Amino acid sequence: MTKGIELIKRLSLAFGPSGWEDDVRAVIREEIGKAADSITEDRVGNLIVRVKGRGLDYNASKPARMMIAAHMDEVGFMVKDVTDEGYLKFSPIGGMDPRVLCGRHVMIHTDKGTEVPAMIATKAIHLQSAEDRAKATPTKKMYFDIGARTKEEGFKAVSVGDCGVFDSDFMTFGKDGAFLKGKALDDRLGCAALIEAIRDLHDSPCDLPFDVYFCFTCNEEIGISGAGVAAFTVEPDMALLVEACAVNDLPGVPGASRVASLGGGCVLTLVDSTALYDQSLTAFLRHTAEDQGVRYQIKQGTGDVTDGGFIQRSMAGVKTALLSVPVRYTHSAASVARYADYESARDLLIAALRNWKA
Amino acid sequence: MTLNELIVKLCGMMTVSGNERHATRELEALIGPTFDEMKVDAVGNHLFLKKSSRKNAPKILIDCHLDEIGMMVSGYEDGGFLRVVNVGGVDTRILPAGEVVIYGKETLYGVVATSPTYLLPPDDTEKLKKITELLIDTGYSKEELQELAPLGTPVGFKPVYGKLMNGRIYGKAFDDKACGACAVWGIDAVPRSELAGDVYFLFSTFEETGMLGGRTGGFGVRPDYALCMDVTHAAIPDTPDLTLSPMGSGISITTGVICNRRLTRMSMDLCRNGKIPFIPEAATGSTGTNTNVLNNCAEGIPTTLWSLPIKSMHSAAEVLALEDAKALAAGVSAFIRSKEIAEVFGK
Repeated sequence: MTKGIELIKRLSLAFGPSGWEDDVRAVIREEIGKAADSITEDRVGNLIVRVKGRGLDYNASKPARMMIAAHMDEVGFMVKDVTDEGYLKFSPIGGMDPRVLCGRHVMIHTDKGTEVPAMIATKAIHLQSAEDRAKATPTKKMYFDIGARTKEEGFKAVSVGDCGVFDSDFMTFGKDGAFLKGKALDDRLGCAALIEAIRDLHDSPCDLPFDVYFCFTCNEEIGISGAGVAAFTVEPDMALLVEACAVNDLPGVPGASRVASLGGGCVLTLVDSTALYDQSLTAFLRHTAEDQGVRYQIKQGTGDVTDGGFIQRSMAGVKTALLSVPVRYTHSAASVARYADYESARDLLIAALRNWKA
Repeated sequence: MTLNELIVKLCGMMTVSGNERHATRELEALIGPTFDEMKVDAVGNHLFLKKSSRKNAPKILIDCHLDEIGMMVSGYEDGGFLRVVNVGGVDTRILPAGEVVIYGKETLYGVVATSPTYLLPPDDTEKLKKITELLIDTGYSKEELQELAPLGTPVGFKPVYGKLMNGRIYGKAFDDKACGACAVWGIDAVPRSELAGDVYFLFSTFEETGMLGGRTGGFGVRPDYALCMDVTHAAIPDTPDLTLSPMGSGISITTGVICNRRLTRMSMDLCRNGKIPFIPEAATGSTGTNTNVLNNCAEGIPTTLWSLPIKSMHSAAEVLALEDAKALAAGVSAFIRSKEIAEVFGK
């Protein structure tokens, strides 16, 4: 595995449902090490990493500020109750598709610090009705099996409010191992790109006309954006969000409904459900990609929810653009991305910072 | 090796119905040493024999099925996607975003594709697709797939095993190789001198697709009596109106129309005397197991059905209780030791 893939693997395996991003934060701190000028954690749990600018275009008395954001949190589950038979009732954290839950492995991290493996139990096919087979079971009817036989046993192992995430290994697959499979690629791919950019700026410093604030943010998946708080703290002049873009590039899906394609490079978004992105910033990214030979695609379609709008409407408004990595089957135990698409997002991020003209 | 490890090793093998020979070498290496002979017959049954030291010993058949449900490649789509059909009754509810292994010329990995809900029409967001409508994402081109995974290539669930509380373990294909593991464990524990008869362990084929191997394998051995072992459904909260036994009750012994009544009663006595936990189960018609075909095989084989209760049968995440598996293995040892049963049913 290359260094980049190793980094993504470590981030993918970290435990971090919205509100419980501690492990991810620890991994990010460790991976950045001494490559940044400062690392601070704000009051809601955002990790803010500053890389200072320098050179002729840098106004040292009142430096311009660039915010680069990626969210640390992933979708997950929260324990709500234990039934008399020892099964756990749960609620999803974030937008969970009930179609991808039956039979999945889950790891619950308890408040006590223990890890409790669970299965999302499914009624065997022999016992399913025609309706069971045609329609996904709603999450409120699902339950975790942790092996407990009674309510008491269940509550000995877990407490109401304990959280879990998909228990899924990380691997490369497909021709030449070009594809990545794992949980939480949304948005640990973005986190990885930010970390690699920080390292790159540290390893071969350049004149940056602004201070860069790399923000690893909380609570994106539940729509209560930590990135908005980070933007308020940083007060950026402009912002670039690095995200995972949920795509539908499957056979039989017509052009525009595919959103974007794996293998097409990083994705530039003009508009989504939260924001119309800044045209000049997006154009700059586009030109940079063309100049540097970085593969990119323009997102087709306007759906998807991101932190973009929260940053854009922070304070008196922030020029914001969205750069993303196309990912299939987001919010499942087996998200799939192509490493080359990640590389193009990372490379464009670095190239944009190094070649800033605005 | 522990029984848990044997279960995981056996169940982790790919034996989708029709591909049982895929596992022959692994099987021989793993369980061959427990037996004196092994042979693979015309339909892929794997028959193992452990001889007793008695003269004119009766023939005892222990049947577990080797095959598991799965899929096979039925087509190719642009962008590196496979189409599949089911082999046996696959639980399609667990497939979206599920992980599979494609056993072609090379072993490939795949994810069952799904579309983001926000891109689906509102009516489709809860709809589950038929297996023939699903796509498997492989990371290869259509042309490469046609070469690497020809039509008919078996596709199985990715084997992932783990532990829950109270000795529960999860994974694929406990149906029925977990019973096979219990049989081997139970047979291995009994010295030749203590066997009441020659023990024929039949790892039969095609159970999931119509019980072919049990029928032909039973005929090939023509045993004096048989113990058929398969999985049964353990009670879960979704099944309050079904009379299913809770997991952890021990061996589920079936009193059924097509199970030999005397052998069933003697089996229960065996468990009572040996303090082996069991729970009776009732079946009025088909048992859904090879008992159906063994009972009527040749001139008829007195057969008793013992089951291992599992949850989420035919999924990649079946769950069993090790205490039940241990009871089953102990029951097998008692069954092949039993002189009483051999006297009644032996020649």
